[in-house]
Amino acid sequence: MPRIVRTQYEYEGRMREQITVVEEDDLPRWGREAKLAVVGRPHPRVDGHLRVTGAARYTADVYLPGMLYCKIVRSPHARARVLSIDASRALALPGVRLVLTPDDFPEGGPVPPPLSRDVRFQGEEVAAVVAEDEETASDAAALVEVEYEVLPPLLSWEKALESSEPVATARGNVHEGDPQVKERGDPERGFAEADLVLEETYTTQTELHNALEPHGAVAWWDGDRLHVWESTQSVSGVRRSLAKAYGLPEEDVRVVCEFMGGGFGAKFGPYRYTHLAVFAARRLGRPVRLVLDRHEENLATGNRPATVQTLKIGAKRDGTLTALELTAVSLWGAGGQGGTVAGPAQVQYACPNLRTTEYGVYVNAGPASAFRAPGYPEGSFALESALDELAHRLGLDPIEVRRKNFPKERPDGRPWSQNSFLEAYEVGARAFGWDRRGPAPDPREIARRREAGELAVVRGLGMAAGMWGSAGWPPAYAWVQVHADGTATVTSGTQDIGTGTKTALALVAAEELGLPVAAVHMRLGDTDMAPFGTGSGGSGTTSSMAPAVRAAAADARRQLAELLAGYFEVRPEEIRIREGRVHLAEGARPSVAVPAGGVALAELLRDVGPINVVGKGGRAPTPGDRAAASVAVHFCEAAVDLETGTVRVERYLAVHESGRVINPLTMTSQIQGGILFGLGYALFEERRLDPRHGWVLNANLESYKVATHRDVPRIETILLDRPDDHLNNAAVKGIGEPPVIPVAAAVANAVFHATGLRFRDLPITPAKVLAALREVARR
Amino acid sequence: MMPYFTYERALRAEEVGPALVASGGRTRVLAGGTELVPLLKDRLVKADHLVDIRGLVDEMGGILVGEGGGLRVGALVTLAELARHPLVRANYRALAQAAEATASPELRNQATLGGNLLQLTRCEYFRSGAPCYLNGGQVCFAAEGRHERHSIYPRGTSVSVNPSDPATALLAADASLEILAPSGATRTVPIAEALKDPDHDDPRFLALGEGELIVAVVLPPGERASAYAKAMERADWSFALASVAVSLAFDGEGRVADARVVLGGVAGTPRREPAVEAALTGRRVDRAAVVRAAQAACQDARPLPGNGYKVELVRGLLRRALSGLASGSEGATGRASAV
Ligand SMILES: Cc1cc2nc3c(=O)[nH]c(=O)nc-3n(C[C@H](O)[C@H](O)[C@H](O)COP(=O)(O)OP(=O)(O)OC[C@H]3O[C@@H](n4cnc5c(N)ncnc54)[C@H](O)[C@@H]3O)c2cc1C
Repeated sequence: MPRIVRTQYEYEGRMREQITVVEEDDLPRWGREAKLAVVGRPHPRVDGHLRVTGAARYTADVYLPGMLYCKIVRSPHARARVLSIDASRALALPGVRLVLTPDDFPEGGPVPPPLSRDVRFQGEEVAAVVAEDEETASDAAALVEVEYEVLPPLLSWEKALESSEPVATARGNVHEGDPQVKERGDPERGFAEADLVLEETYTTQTELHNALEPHGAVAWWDGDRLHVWESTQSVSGVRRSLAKAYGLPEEDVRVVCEFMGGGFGAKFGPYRYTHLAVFAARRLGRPVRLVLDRHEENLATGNRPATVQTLKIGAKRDGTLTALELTAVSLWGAGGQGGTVAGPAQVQYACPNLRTTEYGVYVNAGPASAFRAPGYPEGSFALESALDELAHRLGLDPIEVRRKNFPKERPDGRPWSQNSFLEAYEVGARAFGWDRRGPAPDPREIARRREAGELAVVRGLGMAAGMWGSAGWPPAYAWVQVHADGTATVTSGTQDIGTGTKTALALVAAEELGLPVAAVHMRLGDTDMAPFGTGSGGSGTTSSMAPAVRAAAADARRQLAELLAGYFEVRPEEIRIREGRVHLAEGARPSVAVPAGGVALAELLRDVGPINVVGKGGRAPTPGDRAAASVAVHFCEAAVDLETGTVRVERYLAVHESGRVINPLTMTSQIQGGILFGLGYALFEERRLDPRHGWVLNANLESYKVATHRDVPRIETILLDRPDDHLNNAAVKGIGEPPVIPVAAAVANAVFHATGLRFRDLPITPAKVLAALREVARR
Repeated sequence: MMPYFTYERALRAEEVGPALVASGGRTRVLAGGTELVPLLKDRLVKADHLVDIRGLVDEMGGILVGEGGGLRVGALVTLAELARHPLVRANYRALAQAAEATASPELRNQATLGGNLLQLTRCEYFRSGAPCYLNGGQVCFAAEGRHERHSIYPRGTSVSVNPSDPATALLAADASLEILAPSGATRTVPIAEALKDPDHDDPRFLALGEGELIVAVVLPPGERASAYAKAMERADWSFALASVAVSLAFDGEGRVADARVVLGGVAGTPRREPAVEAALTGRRVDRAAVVRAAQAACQDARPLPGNGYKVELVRGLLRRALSGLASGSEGATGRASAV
């Protein structure tokens, strides 16, 4: 029975509370004892062939009859005031239908104005052109003459903290005016009790998402009904926002995202480009398409903000932590929002005394957004590097230090539903050969032998750990319809953003229905005639949706069993469906004989005719009395080329526990993808800004460097398949974000072990390695 | 998005130059297009008309043995062809290695040698359309801004470095360019003379007259051992942070009779390093000589505040390239794996 509850859940390191409609089910949990036939076995992606053959239709593949093309005019200045816009030359170009300026969007309207007069970062939207084809639109955009009053940008966080003039946002330069402070115990006393206190500053760079598929939308008004194709992590969320903005009933807004090439946190929407397309489509009465290019992607669609973190850490001689103090500044750009940098320091280890102070600082640069584990890779880089350093200084093994500070419960007092860190350390250390790791060398010796031509490459081993608290949330609903041909369709207003959601949920439905996976059709990514599905964020898609799909499939199975019971004249409990074939329980006495191998469901239903079996299911609340922990323990072997300063990761091992493994193949690919991300973050990726003008210098994939195939080592993954049955009926937790969290620290720790040099500034580039080598050689 | 232009295939090389001159700069030559097309898209180069020269293989294609030895490499030869050609690999190993270390496999299949030598600066200010000196403005933003990848021998008003890997190796090989003028006359110029810094009037790294085409690159004969070493932050598909090309001739006793040592990615042109050459000449290439020669490099460099690491880097690359050529090692006979 659906009911309204007030429920709490963890989302990207922050607790959220909401009132929502949940549905309880009485299904036995898929706990450790559950014997499952489909779930847990490797299954290739159900839509893999469509993706690799080009048959999959992404947003940029949507071409509607009569469609127009929109191109945005963006500010070349990081801070400026638009004095005037002259569109006459653009409008004179044949094929141009409309030029939009800030005047078209009065302040205070229902839609936040998608064009700005006050420019606060380079790439901010100031005008838009709509034309008959893409080329004309882009030529016309270049003809729009914007007169700017160029103002000096605010780019440094120090100045942002000092200055009271609101420069980077109208509200001021510091998020909420003050830092977020969290405290427990007595940090001062904790440091006083420590045998060793380390205090260091760590800096991390701005990272750009660069999802393979760019942002984009196609909008079409069919009378008063709005259709929007959008590359989004939340079709239901976009529908809700658009309905609100345009004063429409949600039923009159259809949002579609059939296939997606990644979002990584930057694609929730609707965004400014969506509103421009929707607005222009209404004004012109024709469909309008607006798909961003790579350059725009890298200027104005979000980022992982740069941080400056000072971490002070106190410990006893045996490695027991006595106090942690973190002061973190995140550069959120112009009005963006970053994640919880202090998350790892707050929860990963048992430390009685803690103070974290977090500033979200606004500067005149592209706004930050969610980005795969917002805040955590940044925070983890500082924390996990510091623990490594602590271990080294105390002469202890880094794993020993982590074991010693294993938190028996979450610091808010809630017990873990389960926490597999200790097992993961042990399994990982054994598989990696951690015990072969000797002490780190003296860097002066390394530098000397380098210059003497005796030593060119050194290797080292490092490890780091990360955790993430996600077990999904309500609301999340699904329908499962069984067809007379023996197949079934799963429908939900959620989406597969490229992670394999369709595949995972197909496995769940197949398991519960007793059908082969191939007999399950997935209908995700379309809000029309679909129940609400969750957004794909916070590593919560599978753990939110799988329980709902399972409940809906169970409902459908019950209905089916009742139908079939009538056919055989047995009790519904006596019906068994396995791999698409109907069997009867032992001792059943049917009126129609069933052969030993059962009867194919499809065959049976063919004689019955049309059926109307539709199961529905919703997600129960996540119990608030337990804390979820997806854990990651990573090991890395890195080679440092002393002649060139380049770091190559040669071997990588990742141990993960995220509850029950639904599909080891897609889970492994999530982990590999996360590590790839992390390697780029550790070694190559960095949005570079001109320090005076605030221009993005590398808004392209030529000089914004992501890891290439040749940068990726052999990655071994160990999946600890440990159903976590306190949290939801499928016993699953999240895996999307955990794999990226510890990578940078694991690499930095391996580099330290190779060279004796500690790098506290990401990315670890050849320039920094060579500078450090020269520095020690001089000492 | 690509601006509008018309397109034509050239049928004879002699007709191209006059057409270029007549257009007053609005017609451009298209070879592999890996450089020109992005520049057009980014509106950094403007053209109304493109003349595709890829069909001119008779005049500008192929790798042929020259008169009196040596090789004549057509300007249309792709970097992939150059990297795998057996004679290039055997006798001009540094060049093969440089070609192989260029860009990515996809780009090497498409990119021509001529186009490579005529690519413009990779300076991010220039490429992102900033109103800089090379984009027709009056300022070099890199000097005051971000210049990690820029020159440590700043000269004039731009601090760009020549980004070409092949150019560095070609200078070490003492190559010449065969150039066809619009008049139909052909001249051959040592690459050392053709290389120049980009400037306000001509952002290219080669001194070519209006309407001139590179027809071929000529490699002189001679038995030399050579090696190319390139540093990038990632393993592939990146321009050099710095590179070195070394070409040595040995005497009968395994001593260096002649050395050509060229640094890439550190200045507006690939740069010969006479101090290193002197440190090697007359010696056997052993560890002590390698260390001493490397230390002699970049003594006169004047790095900008953000790129001093390049001095260290060049010395490291020299140690690497020279160790591969150490007397008695396989490299010294011209056979060894790429660096
Ligand atoms: C992502 C990326 C990475 C790269 N990495 C590297 C690298 O690591 N190292 C490196 O050295 N290079 C690198 N390059 C540059 C690449 O090698 C050049 O783009 C390529 O060689 C250009 O050749 P093309 O045939 O495509 O030239 P095009 O783009 O066709 O032409 C380039 C220019 O040369 C002119 N031109 C071409 N041929 C002739 C001729 N015969 N005579 C006169 N003018 C001519 C054209 O008019 C044009 O102005 C990279 C390029 C890219 C895009």
